Amino acid sequence: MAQEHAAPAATEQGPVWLRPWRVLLTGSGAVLLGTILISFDGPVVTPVRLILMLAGLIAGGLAVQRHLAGAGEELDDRVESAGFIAVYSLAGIVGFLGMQDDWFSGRIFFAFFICATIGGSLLMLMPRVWRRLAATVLVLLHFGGIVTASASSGMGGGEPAWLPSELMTYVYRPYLYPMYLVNAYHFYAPDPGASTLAWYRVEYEDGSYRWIKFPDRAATETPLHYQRHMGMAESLNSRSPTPPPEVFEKLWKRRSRVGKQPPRQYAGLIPIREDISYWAQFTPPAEYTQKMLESYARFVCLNYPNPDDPSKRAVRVKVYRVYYKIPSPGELLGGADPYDDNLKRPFFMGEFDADGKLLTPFGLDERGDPFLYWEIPMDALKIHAGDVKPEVMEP
Amino acid sequence: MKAHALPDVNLERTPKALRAWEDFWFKPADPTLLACIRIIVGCVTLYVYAVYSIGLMTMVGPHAWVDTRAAHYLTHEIPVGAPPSSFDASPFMQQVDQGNYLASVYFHVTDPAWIWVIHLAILCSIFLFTVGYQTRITSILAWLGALCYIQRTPVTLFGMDTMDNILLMYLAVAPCGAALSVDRWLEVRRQRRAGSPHIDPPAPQPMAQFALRLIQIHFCIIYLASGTAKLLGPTWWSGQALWGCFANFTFAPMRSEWYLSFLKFLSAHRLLWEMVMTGSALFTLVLEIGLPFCIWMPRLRWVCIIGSILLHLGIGYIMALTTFGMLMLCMAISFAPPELVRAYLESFRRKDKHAAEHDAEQEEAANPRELAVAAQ
Repeated sequence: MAQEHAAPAATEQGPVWLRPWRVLLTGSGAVLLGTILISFDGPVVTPVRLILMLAGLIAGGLAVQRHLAGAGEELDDRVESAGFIAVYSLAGIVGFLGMQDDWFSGRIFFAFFICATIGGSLLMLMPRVWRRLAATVLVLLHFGGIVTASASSGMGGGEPAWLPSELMTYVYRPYLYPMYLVNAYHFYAPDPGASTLAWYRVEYEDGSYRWIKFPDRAATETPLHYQRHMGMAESLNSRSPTPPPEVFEKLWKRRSRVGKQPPRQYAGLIPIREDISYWAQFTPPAEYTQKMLESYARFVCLNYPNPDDPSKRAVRVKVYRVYYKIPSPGELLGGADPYDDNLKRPFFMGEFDADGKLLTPFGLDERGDPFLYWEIPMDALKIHAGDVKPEVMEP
Repeated sequence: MKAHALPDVNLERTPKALRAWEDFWFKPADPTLLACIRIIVGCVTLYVYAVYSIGLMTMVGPHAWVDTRAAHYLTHEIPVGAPPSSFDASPFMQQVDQGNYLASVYFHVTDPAWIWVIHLAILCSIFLFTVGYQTRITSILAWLGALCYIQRTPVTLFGMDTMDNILLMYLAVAPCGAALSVDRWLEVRRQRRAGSPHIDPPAPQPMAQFALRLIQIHFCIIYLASGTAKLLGPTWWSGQALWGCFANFTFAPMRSEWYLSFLKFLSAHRLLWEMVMTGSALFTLVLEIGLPFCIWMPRLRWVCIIGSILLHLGIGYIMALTTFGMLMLCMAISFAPPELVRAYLESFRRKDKHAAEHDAEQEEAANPRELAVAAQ
């Protein structure tokens, strides 16, 4: 009886329309309305219904926060809290249904939301001690995922460990990827390697050209942009396995021959380097890098107009991945300029049109570009890029 | 009486190990330390994503560096491999799926006007999180907002984004708005209006301890993974590894005359060069591998924290990774005793209060008549 005449709980105080159950139901109603409007998707309705759903979820979240702030630990209170959160998870299920197939991000978000709220609801049902124990078990699973992400990354080109790789693929991937917890934390390991730069030679429809080099401190707006450009250049590093020895032998023989007797479009010699192994001069990209190269080529053609006449469209771009060799103490002492181009090793990653299509396919047949994915000696780069025209070299 | 994580449990009947486990995770902790971390992380995050405003479309627009076609490849086509499940099969990775689980509103919104609206809304939520307004909600919104940029252009990420995401995620479950925040200021104002004679400091909370533990353990995993991975590198063993950072023009300040002279001076003195390089490499290895174990020992904790601060200040300067360094420092200071942070901040308040009282007394002594008139 005393309970019946007790003062209202703290959460039930305040204006009537701000009481948690009402706010939760209003928020859920907004999510439901947003979902119903899916049939009318269009340039106006879509933003409106997405805003409705977001506002509904925020309102529901505020209601849950307010309810839990005043919730007790008795069984009845716990059941009410669990029910409260379960209703919130219903809003998530409704929201999930309100996402079109192509709004996969929304579906991922709502899938997480539903799992979190159902999990929260179950946790709320438990007595405090069990709830805390369950929470720590979840935390252990979470850190298991973090360790798995780190251990499943192969080290220094080595094979990744089997168990973590399987765990990562079949258990943790749907959890760690959306949360961006996939970093292996192998900073500067096993060794701080050479840096990678990305050089683009853009050619315009009138035959003029310009070089765009990333990262470039002088041409970058902020230090953060510079770091991001460094990251993009590093994304060109992912390699596919080197071809079998018999195929590779044909590739380097052709590269060597063509370097000495270049086709008509090249002005001079583009020799293969004899001071380092042929294997180290050939770096075919992984599919991922290839796709990024295509995207970067499209971007560069679209966003770097001819500086003299912006009406002239960019029609093709040659991309070079450039390794930067760090000068040794002896070289630095001997007066080497750390910015010297001779410390750089360009690799030809392909010529693309403005739509990102590789114009010079890879292969051993006649159409295949003999220089593709091979190192181009720095002193022959301008010849390969086409800066030096054939007629200039002719007597 | 000592605070305990199990207030509603008969302590004598609870196994000691369970009590220790509970204490480790849930012994109520002062939320002020988390509030300090929130402010620093919020400021860094606000800066990082405000900078996106310069060239926003080149990062998240439909024709960005990673355009919609490349984004589709990442989300739907990229092969997902797993090692073979038996020894009979091919030794190479086998494709088991396609596409990564990446989610970002910028995959779907391609209208520049709406992209700007969303960008400004995210910046707004990060700002509210930083100042601590409706922190429970804005902390989640700030984290989800940051994830939208992270997932949209994964090729542009570096260590700072990783650390920022980790901290935002843990702050989203932490009561980081319980102190040094607009929420707290509003709460104090409400109590004052209700006629409370005494305003208590923010109460210690189990969730504060829980969130701090999450940050601390993640920090230890990062250090251990980073340190043990370095053990595979020959240059870390030969002591030459850090030359690869010191003399790399892409991030070291090689344009600085004195820095270049310093490197040349080192190079001219082999013994000194070896001592500096080997010493730095050794310091890095010992710290990264030792910290995850030693930092739990109270006597060695400060040594580890100071070592970590030195390491990240060095990284911040030499490799121009200032924001990354600040976030790592946030993780390191999560090991500071929360009650110490409160006491430190309280000492400032007391000094201010004493100073104000002292000034008022001096003013009163100097102009007693004017003050009396003003009072009338």
